[in-house]
Amino acid sequence: MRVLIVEDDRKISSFVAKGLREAGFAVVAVNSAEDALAAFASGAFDAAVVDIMLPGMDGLSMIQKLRERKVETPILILSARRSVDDRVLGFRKGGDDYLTKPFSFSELLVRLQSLIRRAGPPGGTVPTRLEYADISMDLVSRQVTRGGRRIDLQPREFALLEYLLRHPGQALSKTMILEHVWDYDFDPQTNVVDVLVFRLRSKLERKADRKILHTIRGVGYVLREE
Amino acid sequence: MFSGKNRAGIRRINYRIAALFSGLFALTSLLLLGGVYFTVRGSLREKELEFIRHKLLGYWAVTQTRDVEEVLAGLESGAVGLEGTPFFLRVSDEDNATVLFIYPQGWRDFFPDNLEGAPRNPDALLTLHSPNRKYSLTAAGIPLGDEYFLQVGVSTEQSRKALSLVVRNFSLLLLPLMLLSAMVGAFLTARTLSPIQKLAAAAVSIVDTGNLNERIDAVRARDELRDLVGPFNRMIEHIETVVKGMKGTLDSVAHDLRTPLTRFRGLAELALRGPEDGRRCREALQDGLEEADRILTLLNAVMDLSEAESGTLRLEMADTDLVELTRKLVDMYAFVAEERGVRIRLQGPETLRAFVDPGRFRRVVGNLLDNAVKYSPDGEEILVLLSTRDGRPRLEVRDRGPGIPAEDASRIWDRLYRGAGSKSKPGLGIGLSIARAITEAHGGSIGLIPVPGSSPGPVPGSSPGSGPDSGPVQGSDSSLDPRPGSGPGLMSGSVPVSGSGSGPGPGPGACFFIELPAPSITKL
Repeated sequence: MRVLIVEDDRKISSFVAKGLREAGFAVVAVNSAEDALAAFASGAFDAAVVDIMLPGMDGLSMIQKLRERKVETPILILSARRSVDDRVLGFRKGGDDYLTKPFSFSELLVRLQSLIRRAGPPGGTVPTRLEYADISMDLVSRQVTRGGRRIDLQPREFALLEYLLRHPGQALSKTMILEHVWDYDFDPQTNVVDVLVFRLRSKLERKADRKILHTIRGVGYVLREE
Repeated sequence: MFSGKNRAGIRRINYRIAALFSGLFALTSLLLLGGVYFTVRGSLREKELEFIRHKLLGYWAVTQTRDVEEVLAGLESGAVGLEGTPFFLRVSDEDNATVLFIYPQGWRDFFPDNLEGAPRNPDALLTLHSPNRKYSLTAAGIPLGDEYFLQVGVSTEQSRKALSLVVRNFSLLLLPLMLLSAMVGAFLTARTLSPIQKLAAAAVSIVDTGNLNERIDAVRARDELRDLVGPFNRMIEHIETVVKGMKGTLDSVAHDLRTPLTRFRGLAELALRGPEDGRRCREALQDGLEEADRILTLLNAVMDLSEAESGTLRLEMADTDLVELTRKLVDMYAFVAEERGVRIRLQGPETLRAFVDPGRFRRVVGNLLDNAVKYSPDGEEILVLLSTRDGRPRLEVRDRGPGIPAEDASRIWDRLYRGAGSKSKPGLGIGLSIARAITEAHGGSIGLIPVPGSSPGPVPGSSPGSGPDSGPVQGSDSSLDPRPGSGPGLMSGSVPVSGSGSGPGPGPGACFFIELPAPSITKL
């Protein structure tokens, strides 16, 4: 998987590149829109992470140019602007997802993987089952089992587990869960996510079961086999 | 204040209009003077001729009854009076030779011998000039019998004097009048142009100093100028709001971020000062991450608040069903509430349409719900009531918490203000400020209403037992904070606590309301 990073801030660029390499991506990093267009001309990428504020041509114009050239690579926009207008503009210009700075790396990773998966070959089979460790989820019958034992989940709990199963081993932040499960795009200043995770955890880890849904302080929640 | 270029430009207009005004005035004055002059001159001349004619006819009348020669002899001997207005009298014969010539002394110079060459025409007027042509005489004649011709002439001196008096007086008047007209012109111009001048001055002053307090007095501006002044003032007002809002945002953001940033820094410093210990450092990093997230949340909230308060918030208004919007939020907050046995009951019509920015209004309702859930005692109920009052959509959120002490009632809307009882609750102390700012940006109102059945001022302990459920209200400060130290912790299986016994009972409760403007038909 080849990912292009277009970011003029060296520190951000290097930490994103480092993290992506650790996650198994091949990373090309450039620091201007012009270089990015050149990179696209010389090779294909599976995804791109593009900062909007760049020296010279800005990120949005670059994305527009790429789309005009029929480059369909999924693009994740990075921006310091968080207003709805800016988001809408980003999508209108051809961006596929929008992340505001400062961001957590785990969120960037999850979003990037989702983008690549969605852009995957159209002939690919859509999974009807998600499995991780001894957890199995049937997306059609909506049945969940752990170690063969059936677990009854409420719709919100189901949505959260599905989200976790799609990103095993990756930390999902409260904001991401809030957005994914409740479609709620601002911090409601409430511990609703804690409550939901707590409920799901107590259903997943009954009695002697091994711990599987972990809290990473300051980061979020992760589904991981110990 | 006033840049030279601008001032000169307007002055030029001022002078031009003033000059035009006095020029026009002078021209009319001259025309008037001409009219008066010629009228006066004509009437004076008429008077001279009248006098001459009167004299001529007088002598003619005398000759009708007496012999001409006798009359002439009488005249010559002084029998005919020449008193009064001086005039000359000449009688000539058929050959125009002078027979009799009587004239006042000093008129000699007027009469070279040319009088004998003058025509003996009774209709002809004769003008005689003194040698220096300074004075003149006017004369006319009449035949006396068949033989003689009588001529009488008067001096035009009187007329000349009168006319020159007219001209002189008029000239004397004209100068001050011209000055006056110039002044009046300048005054009128200045008065007419003063709003424009002020407008320009205000604009220049704003550009030069950046001071946006300048306004133009629109009441005194007249007519078309008011049309100019009004929009100008509105424009400045808008710019002022935006600029002030931006300044305010910057100030408050800086202020609000200082505290958490200090904490953040302290965390790192403390970790570095201690002995090298991987676990300790890891913990400090985790704390730091949480603190960073809090700072970010606060930054976002404060930015939103400042934007809403300064009126620069751009609302994406849409026809929205408040019931649907509220139901979704209640669904989410009920999730948290039910952990503590708190139920949220939604009451209202099937649908309730309002014209709001749905994303932002969700925040308002969310903040109120969050507030209610936080302060509701375990096991109690929160009532969310949707209704219309006089066509205006209305939402009420009523909890049975400790209520809001009177001394806090006005301050709960202040940013970062946290009442005595809220210190232990999680939160930034900004939720209600945002709720109010957004509601007001929508043109609505938000407030606290006295809960029916409770004491008017929900002062803790003031009237225990008067609450709707007659639960014991705990005395003094402790009732403000029913759950000391209770954070957002994950409590499961909380047993709903009734109004008495182990837990805090229902207090007087707090009831927040929001009232939105009635949705206008045209907007939908």
